[in-house]
Amino acid sequence: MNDHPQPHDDGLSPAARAALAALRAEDELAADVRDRMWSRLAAATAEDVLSDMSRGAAPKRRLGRGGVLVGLAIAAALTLALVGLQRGAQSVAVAPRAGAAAYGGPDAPERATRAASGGRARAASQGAADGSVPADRSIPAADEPVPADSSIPADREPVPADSSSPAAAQPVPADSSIPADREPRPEPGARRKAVDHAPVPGDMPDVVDAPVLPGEHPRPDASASRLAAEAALLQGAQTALASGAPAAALLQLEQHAREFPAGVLAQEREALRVVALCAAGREREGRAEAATFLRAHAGSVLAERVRGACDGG
Amino acid sequence: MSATTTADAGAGEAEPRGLDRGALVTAPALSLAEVYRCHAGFVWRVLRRLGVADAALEDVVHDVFLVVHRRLPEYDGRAALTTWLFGVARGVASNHRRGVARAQRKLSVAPTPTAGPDPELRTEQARLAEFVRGFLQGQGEDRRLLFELADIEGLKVPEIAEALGMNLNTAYARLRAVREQLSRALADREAGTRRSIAR
Repeated sequence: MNDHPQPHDDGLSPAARAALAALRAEDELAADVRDRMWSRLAAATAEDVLSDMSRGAAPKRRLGRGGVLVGLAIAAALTLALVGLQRGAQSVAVAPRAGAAAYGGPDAPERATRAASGGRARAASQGAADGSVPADRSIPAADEPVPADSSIPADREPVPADSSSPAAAQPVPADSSIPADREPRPEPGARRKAVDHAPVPGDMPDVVDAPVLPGEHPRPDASASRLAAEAALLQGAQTALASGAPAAALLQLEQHAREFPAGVLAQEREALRVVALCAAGREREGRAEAATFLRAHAGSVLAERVRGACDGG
Repeated sequence: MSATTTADAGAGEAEPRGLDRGALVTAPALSLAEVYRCHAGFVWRVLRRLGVADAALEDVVHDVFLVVHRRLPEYDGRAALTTWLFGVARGVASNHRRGVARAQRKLSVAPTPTAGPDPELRTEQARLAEFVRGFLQGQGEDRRLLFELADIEGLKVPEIAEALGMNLNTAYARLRAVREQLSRALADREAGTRRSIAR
């Protein structure tokens, strides 16, 4: 659909073709700008679900209550985690609770969502309104947004070798001074565990569920970037669910499970999966996974929805 | 840059022409991430061509993809995704420009245009690109957009014609005319360069 312009016998001289190629190269979007915009977008679309809720409207016409609740929890967890990351970057001693929500342990998502149920509007509006937590700006360039299966041919996006495009000269947010290099630094006696994940262009840091030892904090830029990637996958699943494609949603959720088995949004993933399984007509599996979810997260704000997922809710 | 001249450009959020809501079918679901990955560059370039200033581009791209995020389930696959995205981008850009125009009317002094980098320091590619931009600015907006979408972005002429509300034959005729003018202008430029070197 987006092929190179076909040569036409149409009045364009070779010089004109060359000039158009030059213009196109000059207008190219710089990779760092592309990544920065994606990070902001991934955060904002999570918040979008929240603001739709506050207006009392379902965010997607066909997205059931479950999807809304899960979206809500994702938005709140994301916001809390970003708060934690932001503070963590400024002071080592601050916000153990929010920091834990970022990558603090197996119950972090639980805490994030519980906190969310108490003050979700506050949590989200804080980031947007008071400016103390510029959630949508605090994430440095995300890794390539990526669904592994790319049925869409990447449109012609050669990144010019010399990035002289005007975009590169644009003013950048102050926090973009964070190094673009997001690979975790190799540490002696590496406590980090590499996992095998699906081929991901623009690769993510190869680290998951690394235990955070006292005094050791994950690099905020890497964690925020991973969080944005997590949120993007779950948003993709929600969009698919909303458009009546639960099978596609399940694929996104499986990708999330592969890449972030102990991610911040793991609980939201499991809840969405129950909703998607039921929507796909796989009720037996849906009910089984719902039972597992409810055993593990009886007090979750998502419990009620998960309980009713296969009952036409 | 000049304001949009077509009648439909201002209406709220973009309403891509040719989107028959009654005939919406379930298209294979696309995620926002996929659309962004494949087409962020396209949206970026199109917004520039629609007259969004460089300083505002990131914000406007962001707004376009927020609209895409909300409306992706409506995309029915009838037109190329790029054509649909163009419709969205056009509406958002139009709203943005109206906002900018309002803000500028409130200013008593227009901002002084900044001088670009020294032309001598720019590469030949940059100079060539600048020449084409200048040439295209001399065309009417519809002709310029038609040409840019067809010959730079590779959209199909019938889809562009529909999006711009232009008769298909007219579109082909205008496209050919612009191509020929550009070819001549470049030939003149080349001849002028040779003459100045010969002197």
